[in-house]
Amino acid sequence: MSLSRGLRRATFWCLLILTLAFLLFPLVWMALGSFKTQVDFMAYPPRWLFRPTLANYEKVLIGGDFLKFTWNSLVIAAGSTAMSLLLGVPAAYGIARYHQTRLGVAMLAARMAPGIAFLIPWFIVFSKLRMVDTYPAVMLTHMVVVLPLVIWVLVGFFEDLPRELEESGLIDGCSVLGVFRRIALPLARPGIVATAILGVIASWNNFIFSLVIAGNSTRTLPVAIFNFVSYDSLNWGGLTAASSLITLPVLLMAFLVQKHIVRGLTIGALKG
Amino acid sequence: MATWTRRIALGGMATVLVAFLGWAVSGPPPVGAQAGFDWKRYSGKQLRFLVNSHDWTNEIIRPAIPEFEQLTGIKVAWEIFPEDQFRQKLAVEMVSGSGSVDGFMSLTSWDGLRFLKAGWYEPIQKYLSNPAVTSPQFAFDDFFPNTRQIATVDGHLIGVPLYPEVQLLYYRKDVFKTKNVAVPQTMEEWEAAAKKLTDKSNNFYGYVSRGKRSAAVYTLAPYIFNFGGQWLDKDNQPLLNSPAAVKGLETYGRMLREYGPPGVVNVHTYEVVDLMSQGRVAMASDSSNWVSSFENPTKSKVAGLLGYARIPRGPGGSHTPLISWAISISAQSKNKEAAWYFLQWATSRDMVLRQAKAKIPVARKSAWESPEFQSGLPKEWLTAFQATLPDSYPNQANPVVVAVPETRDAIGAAIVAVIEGQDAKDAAERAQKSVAEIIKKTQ
Amino acid sequence: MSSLTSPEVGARVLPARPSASGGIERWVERHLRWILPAPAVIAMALLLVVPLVYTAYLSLHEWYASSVLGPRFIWLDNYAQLFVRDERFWPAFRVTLIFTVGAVALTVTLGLGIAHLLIRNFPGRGLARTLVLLPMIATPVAMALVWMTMMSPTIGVLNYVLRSVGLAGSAWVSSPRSVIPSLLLVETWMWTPMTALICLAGLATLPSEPFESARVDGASGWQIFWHLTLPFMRSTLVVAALFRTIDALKVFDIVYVMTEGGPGFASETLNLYVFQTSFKYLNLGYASALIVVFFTLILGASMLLIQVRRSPP
Repeated sequence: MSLSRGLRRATFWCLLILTLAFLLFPLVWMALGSFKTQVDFMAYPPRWLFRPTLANYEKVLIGGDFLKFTWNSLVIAAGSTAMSLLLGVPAAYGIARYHQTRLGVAMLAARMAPGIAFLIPWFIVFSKLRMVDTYPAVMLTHMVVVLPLVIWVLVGFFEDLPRELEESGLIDGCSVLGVFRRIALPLARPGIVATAILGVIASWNNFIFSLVIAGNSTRTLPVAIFNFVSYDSLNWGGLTAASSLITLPVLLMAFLVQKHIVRGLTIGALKG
Repeated sequence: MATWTRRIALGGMATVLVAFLGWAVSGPPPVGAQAGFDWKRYSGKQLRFLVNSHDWTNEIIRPAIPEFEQLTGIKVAWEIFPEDQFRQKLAVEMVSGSGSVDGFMSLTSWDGLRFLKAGWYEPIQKYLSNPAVTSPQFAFDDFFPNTRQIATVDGHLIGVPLYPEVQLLYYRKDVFKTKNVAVPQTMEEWEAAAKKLTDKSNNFYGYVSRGKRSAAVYTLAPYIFNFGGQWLDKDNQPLLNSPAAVKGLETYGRMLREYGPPGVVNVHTYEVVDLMSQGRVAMASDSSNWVSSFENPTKSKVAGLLGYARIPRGPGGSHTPLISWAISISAQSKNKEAAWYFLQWATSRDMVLRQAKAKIPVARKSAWESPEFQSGLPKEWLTAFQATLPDSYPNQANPVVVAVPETRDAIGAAIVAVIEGQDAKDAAERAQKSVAEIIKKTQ
Repeated sequence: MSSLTSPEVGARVLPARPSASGGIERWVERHLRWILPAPAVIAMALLLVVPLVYTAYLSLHEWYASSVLGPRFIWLDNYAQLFVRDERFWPAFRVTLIFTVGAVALTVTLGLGIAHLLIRNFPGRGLARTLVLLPMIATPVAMALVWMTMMSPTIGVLNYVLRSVGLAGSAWVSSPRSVIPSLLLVETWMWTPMTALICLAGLATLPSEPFESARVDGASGWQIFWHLTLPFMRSTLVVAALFRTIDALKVFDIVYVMTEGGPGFASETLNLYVFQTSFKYLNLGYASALIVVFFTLILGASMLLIQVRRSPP
């Protein structure tokens, strides 16, 4: 009995370790590589032990516009998420409370459309409005990704809220709007925080819209990393250093709000 | 110097410039000429240039922008992108017609016809012949005639040529010496040398060139020309299934397949440079421009070890494409004169001399013949380049049609197929059919 | 039940309470169900619907942005060309289909498996759950580039690992034969965390009695999985498959960054083909037609999966 239990336990841990190894290896490799010199990187067999150097990070951070691109990514992520929350939180509440199925499905349909379907019309409009390469323009395009995400996740959250609290609020003479503001919102705060983080991550990681709409002053990190690839194609040290710097913020964010992310994603998924 | 003696001189030079082809006269620039030319005329304007990532844009112009801004009071946004992204960005911006771009670079062999047809170029002839907006120091006739020809599309002078390039054979002198291999003169010798020098067990390969779909068309060109082929016939129809083209395609694919490094179908020009610079291949054929990277000891392990030669000849001789990027004014720009100011500053004698000092090939005769350029570049490179020049085909990097990207993708697919081992004749026929169809749809 | 896909009509609509203050507030209260989502709907209409309509309209025109001529109305010629005469469309369609089926199958299966691991109670579970998330959160473009360095045929670490266990190295993305599996590997790595999370949530809501009684009855692990877990998880699995299908059909970042559709056109997905046609060839009229067809494909696949979810088991 205990042999089979022990065997099962061992299998479990084996599988778990294998899974984690598979999922984490590229990230570890990236982090390790960012400290390697060019010589070490080009060595074969690959070196696991080597003398680390900060030269790659120096090169990435200094002398380029990396900090500017980071700032751009940050501003655009914050802006598009803020706008999406502003529009999306009330919308999600409305859809949840009034059971507006069709609207909800419409939001899901937004997720289905390929980004490329919007790019040229957008660009024409933004150009005519002289808004190319401005923060608002890029934020608006990111909103197309973040807003449906916000609504979809928050509908689930709002539906999960116990109605009794809201109903007692109504009985006490509060308007629906008041119930929304004073009861539902504070209760849904963890959900809103999770959603905000998801929105920021989605915007931070976005590539195709930034590729086309952003210019020099609004270029975001995923697009900037391309400069490393083409111009200096075997500069793996620079590439991994840049990749590490780009992914580090979002990875940290994931750690901080892991529980919320899990809940946010799965709630939306299961309800949807 | 009396004002109107200078005016006569200016008028005379302007006349010469108007008859621009073939004149190699360049008198000494008048002393104090600057005093008459108002660099600050468009002060306060803002310009935006979209340009391709290259040593010239990164190392020469970008750091010097503050100088221009100080000289003219014009602010310049100099946006650099790697080639593929640059093309996409430029296309999207120009299509919208918004005038968000004041100037851009273009490769006339690739973009020339298309941009002209789309009305994106602002021909510069009228600025050149207008002494009010052209500094007397500029001296357009200082540019080599065939570079001026490259910058002329369908009779319109669309921009200023920047860095002419042909294709050269790069080889490791030290490896040749050790293995007792002579510099190949013919295609057969070339292949034999590649075979002899490949040492797979040591991860060292005899030859590399571009294998990536669209990019490889450029380096395939000499093979086709050397077997006597051309891209297009007189009626602008493709000749991809001609015996010469098939032979060229077959040879190119075989060289890369047998003697090239693994993963060669993903090799773009940047990887060619890397592989050579890291000492992993014995020979490479690609743009002559890369000499500055190869001879840069901070970037290249083989600085000083490389030899430069003409591409080996075939039955049709030895011909490579001759191309050059040019910098142009956008027809949609709202600040065309200010943009012209930037163009002439960026391609002025001084700036081009800086380019020459950085070992980047130049289009100006004065800079080419300067002691800095002549001494800065390897003698063998200069000899090989100058020998290649007369036999080179201007703008023939690919079929010169309107829909170049699509055409290049179709031919590139054939190249990849042959590298992967497919039959060259079949691949050539497929490409022929595709390209003929593309030309029919778009010309 | 949820409002998003449930066909049940909600029963509990909150009444609009007349408030003490004036007419506007009352009007707002009464129409709250429309006012709340209005800003979001308007924003989406402007940002999404209008461009889509314009694209559909443009698909009936011939317009090369590389000419001074404007769009020219040509009815359905673009579509005729697309389905009958375009030699890159059907291969791209095929690549997209193969990639999508592979991506969905791999991520959902693996995700379900990982969910089974993470549902257990073990020390460090919280940490494990967070770590599992990471591939999904990391910036796709950056990670795709890192995978490229790992997949170098000559000095990449993946081939090193393969060779050390006696296998031959792979050409990974530099051969038409192995390019799609290579891309699938990266895609699976990146998105299995998402399906794992969804399945984890699904597993967590499973009722415990059927499983306990089955165990008491002596059913084997396999039997429990096959006859209990899977049917119960059906809805969850379909949801996971739905999201993965949509995302896989639309895949862009990793393909663009790693292969740009190459070698040759071996990994050219529909999305990438559309991108090239729009921004490289500037064939905007034709690209619009491609977009319409592509979008229809995605909608169709999604509708199919939604129906599967709704149909009785």
